[in-house]
Amino acid sequence: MNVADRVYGVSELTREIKRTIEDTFPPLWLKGELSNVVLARSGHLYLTLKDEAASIRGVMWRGQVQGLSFRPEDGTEVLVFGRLSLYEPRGEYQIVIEAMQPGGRGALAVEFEKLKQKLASEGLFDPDRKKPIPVNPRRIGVVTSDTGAAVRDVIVTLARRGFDIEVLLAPAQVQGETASRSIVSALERLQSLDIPPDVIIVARGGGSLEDLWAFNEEPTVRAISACPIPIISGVGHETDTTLTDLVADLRAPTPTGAAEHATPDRRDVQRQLTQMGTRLGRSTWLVVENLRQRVEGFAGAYGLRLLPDRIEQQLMRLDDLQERAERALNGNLERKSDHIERNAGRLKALSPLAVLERGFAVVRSGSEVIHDAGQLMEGQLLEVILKRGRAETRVERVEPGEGPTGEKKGE
Amino acid sequence: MSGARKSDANPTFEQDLERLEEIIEKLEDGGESLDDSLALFEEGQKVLSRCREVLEKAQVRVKKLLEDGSSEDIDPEALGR
Repeated sequence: MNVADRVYGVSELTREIKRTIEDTFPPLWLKGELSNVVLARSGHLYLTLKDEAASIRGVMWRGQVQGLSFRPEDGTEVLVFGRLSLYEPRGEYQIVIEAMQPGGRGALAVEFEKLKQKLASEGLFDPDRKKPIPVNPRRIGVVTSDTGAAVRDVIVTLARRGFDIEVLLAPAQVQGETASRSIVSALERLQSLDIPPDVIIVARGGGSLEDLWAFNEEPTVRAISACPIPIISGVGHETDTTLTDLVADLRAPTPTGAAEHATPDRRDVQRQLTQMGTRLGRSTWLVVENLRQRVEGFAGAYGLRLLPDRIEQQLMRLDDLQERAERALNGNLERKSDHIERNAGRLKALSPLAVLERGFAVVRSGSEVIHDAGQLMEGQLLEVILKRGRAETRVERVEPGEGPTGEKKGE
Repeated sequence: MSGARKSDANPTFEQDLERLEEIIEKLEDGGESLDDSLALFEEGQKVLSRCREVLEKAQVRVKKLLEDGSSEDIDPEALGR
């Protein structure tokens, strides 16, 4: 190599370096932190872009500067688009910036706010638009990635809690360029089933704003809003709020939380049924107990005797009823078999009232209860005791004979 | 609306729970005649037993919808790992 072959002039060398730089680097995107930002009187913007280990000079011409939607300041993280060049007089390479926007987290945050405001003003997040979640859905749709923690959490939770459900998993991409479209398509697939689900869970595990971005994209949010089936969102961690969370009919902090809202726990329902069984038994018991007390008082006041046969049938029904009510109480009361017997006795006393309820009357002459028409005479004054009230009547005509159950005369 | 609309001949679990609550409240109010109370009690027992059966079966089916429109069954236990 002949080092002495060529002697460069400064301009010449600089020109070659410039050409090399310009040929090697097409227009590119560059991210970094702003520093030494100076807006010259000319309107041109001079700055330095840096990261931990290096820095590069930049310039933005007045025309482009005027189009900026934000104020570039020292310390701002930015994303710029431009081409590399070399400023010959100073031998400095630089980037000539065509476009600049707040970079990294900042850019997405700005977009988030803009879309949020736009959709909010259309009313998409209004509480009135939220559909109620069915209490006992039979079919539950799930839109999430079919790998990873979220799908596992949702399905395991549903399986643990549910007692008569069918879970329909519609897998979707939950991250990346195609995620939004994939989520929308999964929602459509669920909606167009012959028997669509009663509720849909849209879920995704935790991640950064970038990771969760699909759940902030307009098509996703609009699809959820337009879906006629109630949707529960369980996206990210508790502290993440995506537009999906805002537009969903119910928002849960995590995928597991979403699954918990989608179906009641079978153990809670079990408990509820047991309670209802107890109430059923107790309330029936009390109905019968009530009657017993009324009749005991009644029987005491009028000294009624037992009435025969068809009444016996009624007694047996009541006996049976109390026994079953007793069993329905799951033996929670201390009343056991001896008590049943005691109450069976009391039940027999119930019969007159039960009979009276059915429209029969008790007929007395003086203090004596009349069972047999043969005991009567024309013109005799009788007292008729009804379920409610009494009457005094006189016998017009007497027809002795068999009773309704065939008791003989004079019984 | 829970699934397809069901006729009275085949009440849904939800409908059964509602009816059970209705029956219990009527009995708790105590205003029914003895015969009606008996009938309510019997109906209540029938409904309760139907509900208990559903719970005992504890059926949970999981299906994955595939691209081509078909579906495949998934065992939830398998996912648990």
